[in-house]
Amino acid sequence: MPSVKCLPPEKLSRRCDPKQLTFETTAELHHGPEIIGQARAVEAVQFGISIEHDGYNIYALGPTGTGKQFLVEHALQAQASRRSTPQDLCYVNNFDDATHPKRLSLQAGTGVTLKRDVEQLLEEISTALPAAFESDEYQARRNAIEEEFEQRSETRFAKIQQEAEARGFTMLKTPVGVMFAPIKDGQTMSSEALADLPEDEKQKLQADVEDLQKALQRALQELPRWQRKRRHQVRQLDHETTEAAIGHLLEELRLKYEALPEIVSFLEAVQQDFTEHGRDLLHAEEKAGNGAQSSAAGTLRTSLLLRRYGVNALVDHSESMGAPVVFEHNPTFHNLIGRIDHISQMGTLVTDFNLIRPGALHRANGGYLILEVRKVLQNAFAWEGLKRALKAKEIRIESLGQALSLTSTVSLEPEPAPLEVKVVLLGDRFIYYLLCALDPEFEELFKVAADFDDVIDRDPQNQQSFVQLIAALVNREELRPFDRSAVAKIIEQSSRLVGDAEKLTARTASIVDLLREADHWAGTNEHDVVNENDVARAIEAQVFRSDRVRQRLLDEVLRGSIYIDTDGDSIGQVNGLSVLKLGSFTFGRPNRISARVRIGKGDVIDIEREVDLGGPIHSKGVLILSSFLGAHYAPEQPLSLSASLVFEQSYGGIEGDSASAAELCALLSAIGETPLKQSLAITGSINQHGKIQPIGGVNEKIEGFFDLCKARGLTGEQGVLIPKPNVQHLMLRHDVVEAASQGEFHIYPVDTIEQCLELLSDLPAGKRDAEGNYPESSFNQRVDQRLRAMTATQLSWARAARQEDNDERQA
Amino acid sequence: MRGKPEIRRILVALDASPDSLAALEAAAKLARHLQAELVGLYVEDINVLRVAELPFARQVTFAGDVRPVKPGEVEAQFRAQADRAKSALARVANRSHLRWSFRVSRGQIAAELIAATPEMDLITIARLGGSPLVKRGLGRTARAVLAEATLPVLLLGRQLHLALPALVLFDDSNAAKTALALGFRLSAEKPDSLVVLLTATSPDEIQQLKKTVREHLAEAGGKEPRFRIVSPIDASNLSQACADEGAGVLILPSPSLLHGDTGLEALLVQLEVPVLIVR
Repeated sequence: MPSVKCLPPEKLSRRCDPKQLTFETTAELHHGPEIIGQARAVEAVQFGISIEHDGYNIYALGPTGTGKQFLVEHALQAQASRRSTPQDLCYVNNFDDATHPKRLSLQAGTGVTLKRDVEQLLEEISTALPAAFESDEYQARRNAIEEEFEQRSETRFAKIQQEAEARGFTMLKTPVGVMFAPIKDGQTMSSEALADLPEDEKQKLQADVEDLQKALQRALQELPRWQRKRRHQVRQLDHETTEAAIGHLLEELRLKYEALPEIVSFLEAVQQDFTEHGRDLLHAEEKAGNGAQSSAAGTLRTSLLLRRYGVNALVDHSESMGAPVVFEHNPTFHNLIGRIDHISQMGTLVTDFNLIRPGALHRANGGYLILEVRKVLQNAFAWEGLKRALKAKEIRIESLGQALSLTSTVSLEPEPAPLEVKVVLLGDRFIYYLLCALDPEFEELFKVAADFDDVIDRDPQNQQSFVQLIAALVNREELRPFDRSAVAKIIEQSSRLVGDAEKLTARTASIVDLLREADHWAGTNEHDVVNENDVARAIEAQVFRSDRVRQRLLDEVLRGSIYIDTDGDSIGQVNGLSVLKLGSFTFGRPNRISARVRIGKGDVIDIEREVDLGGPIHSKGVLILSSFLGAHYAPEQPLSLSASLVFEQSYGGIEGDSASAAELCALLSAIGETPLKQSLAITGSINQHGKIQPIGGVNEKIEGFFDLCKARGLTGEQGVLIPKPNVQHLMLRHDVVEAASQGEFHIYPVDTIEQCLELLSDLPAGKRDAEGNYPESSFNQRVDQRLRAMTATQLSWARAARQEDNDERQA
Repeated sequence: MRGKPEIRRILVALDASPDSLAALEAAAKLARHLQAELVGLYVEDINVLRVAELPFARQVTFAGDVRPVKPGEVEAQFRAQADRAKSALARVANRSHLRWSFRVSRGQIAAELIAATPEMDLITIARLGGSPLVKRGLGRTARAVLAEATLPVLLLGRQLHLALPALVLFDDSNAAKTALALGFRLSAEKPDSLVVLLTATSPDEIQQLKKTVREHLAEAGGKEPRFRIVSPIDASNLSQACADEGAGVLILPSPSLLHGDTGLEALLVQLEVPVLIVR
């Protein structure tokens, strides 16, 4: 009789007794933090936040839903509130080189105040300046300059004209200049008339013309000088008028900001530029606003002035308390480091310092920036841009074209802003290890890894914390209170989710989902308090929504399309168990594993591997069982069999070694020609010594076989053999435990292959004695004898063949 | 309306200078209002051609160079300038969908212009033109045309754009009636932009003039204009009226109440608006 006893019902699932919970509903409970366990991650985050040195940015790694973002945000908010508010960042025009806008880093709140003050100033200037240029004083002085010039040139030319007339000439305009024509009888002299003149008169005429030409030439040559002088005088007048109109307005601002040298020097630059170009700007405005109403013209004038003299307050901390904590949900290259916009003007794209836009790094500068690493990596060049900024410790705004040297058009190159920020990346472990392996700069820049666990121990202390977490989540989600039976059910489900009776899940996201759905069903059932049944209903509904494939597979087995026996005996055939994961839903299903043997060279053929349907771990399991076979039976003889193993009716890939024990049982049954019970299923991997090793997904596997047996009717003989170490993982469904307690279904914890064989065949496995023989009628003896017989048969075949060869040679 | 002017052909004196091109623009605007044809006339100055043949002929260019004149050079320059003038006329006229023609003649400029006037109903001419280096007042050609032509003359300059309101000086003469009719037609688009300048020695006279104006305008379906008394009529008061009203064009009947050419010239020195002299 088999020595292994089936597990008692209490070992099949670790229940949480509601009576142990000392509250009626979660409404009574103190809300704990919305994160549980994670001591390692918490310490890492705290360390990363508090250390001041470069490169100590944080990568929070762990599965989704473990509360990374919550923990990081709360930790950063707490630290940020203790830190000082960083400076405002503004950009202003660089009047010496407009392509390199100047940066102003100002005390928090000053940026926006300065922007408003400058806007007010420009509004006043836009009224005061045109008024100054339209004033009678200006017009009078301007007219005086123009008059002087006109007077001077006219006097000069009139004098030449008079001189010409006095000498008998008139001035004629030609298409390119002026000619002096001698007059005779009121008419210009013809060449014939000239020819009739005496030689001395001709010479005199010629000399007069030359004199007049020289005089006119001198006057014309002086004209540009006079014009230059006039322009200079007008410009000087414009400067004086501008100074007088805006000087006192600027002086007020200068006094207000006299303690801030950066602003004072900006205001001085504004004044100087205004003096130089203010009049030109007004002219430009007149042209642009030609025909506009006067109020619209005023607005246009102010906006033109703002484009040149305004303040672009890029980052405003006027309402910030402490350091900023920024979560950038769309970390593109430009959303991180800022961008320079362009506007369409007369069919071309133009830009200036007003169109500089901040990135997340600007907003987070002096504080903290949280990013999801997957999104950073998905956005082209965002990762490179982020690293470059962190390494250079400055934010240099440039377009992708500039950054990659793809374009060489003149654009803005704003003065870079010094960067002091702590970046926290949120992501999964895979990307973390990938970055460590592939990006040499990564570990240099992200020295702190905050590793979030997805499970925590199910001890009393953690269970209490877990209850408080549930209370906090119920409160945050504004759900109905949960009674203690419901909480107990959720605790059980938390263990079930991680497939371990001694652990609880740390993925709060899945707990929140369950809480919300249980609350929904409570509402449907008109419960004021969520109870155990509501939670159970939510779990069932979750399963039902996802188990279409499982049900279809079960149906096909019941309809006889997929061959799985759940009673009777068969040689070389055993029920193995596999796990399928479809999305977030995992389920187990039984698979028939069969083995056939014949005389051969001692190889075990894994048919799955031969057709490339078996993964490397599965192949490893098969090779291990081959080794066990060779070492365990007739070790002094060569193995003279050829065996084949197959997962029947399996058309997809097989991976993992959890069926290796089942495969060995099928093989030994085939060799020993001993039937195995089909009412049992087996899972577990095997080592070379025949020891059964633990596997994953034990609960789903057992339930997969149970569901089939239950559908066909439980006989009381059915059950599953599981590796003994997996007992601690058992969190079986209530109906499985119930069937076990009724003696209708059995779970056998097994340690060795011998225990498996005994349970499956009802024969003793048999131990080798001192002579190396197995006891009579034991399972092992049958296997051993068959192997020896096969070897003998092969030897006789070999001898006969040799004899035949010799005979042929002698003949 | 009595004295209704029939302006079918407008003569534009063209020499491709900025002043004459400004006159062309204003003429085109006027032609659009009056649905008239533009006739461009370019005159090759016979005096210049004659002087160019003299052995000591030199041109002093506007840049201050003195250059001898080569045979045929001046003719070529005239031809090029005439081409430019024609192109400008074609461009401006086509843009406004106006009928146009262009002709070139050779002779004394003023005489050629005056010779062309019998076929025309109005002539536009730049104020300056004869003397190249004088920037104010009235040019020789303009002065000669004003003295001899019998048709309305529109005097224009580089900075002067024909616009509204139209100011009409009304003294009940026949020329004044024609001037009023022209002012009315020019301001047809904006009926409020007609200002009638009156001069009289007594209130009764003023009332009488206003009545006459109203009758004339009513006949044409016009509204009540704005009246303004200008007394006495001289350059200073007229230019003040133009400045106050923001005048776009001043229409004066001729023989003007201004005393002779000197009075007109004094007005033109002060005025910065186009002036239309009506006969």
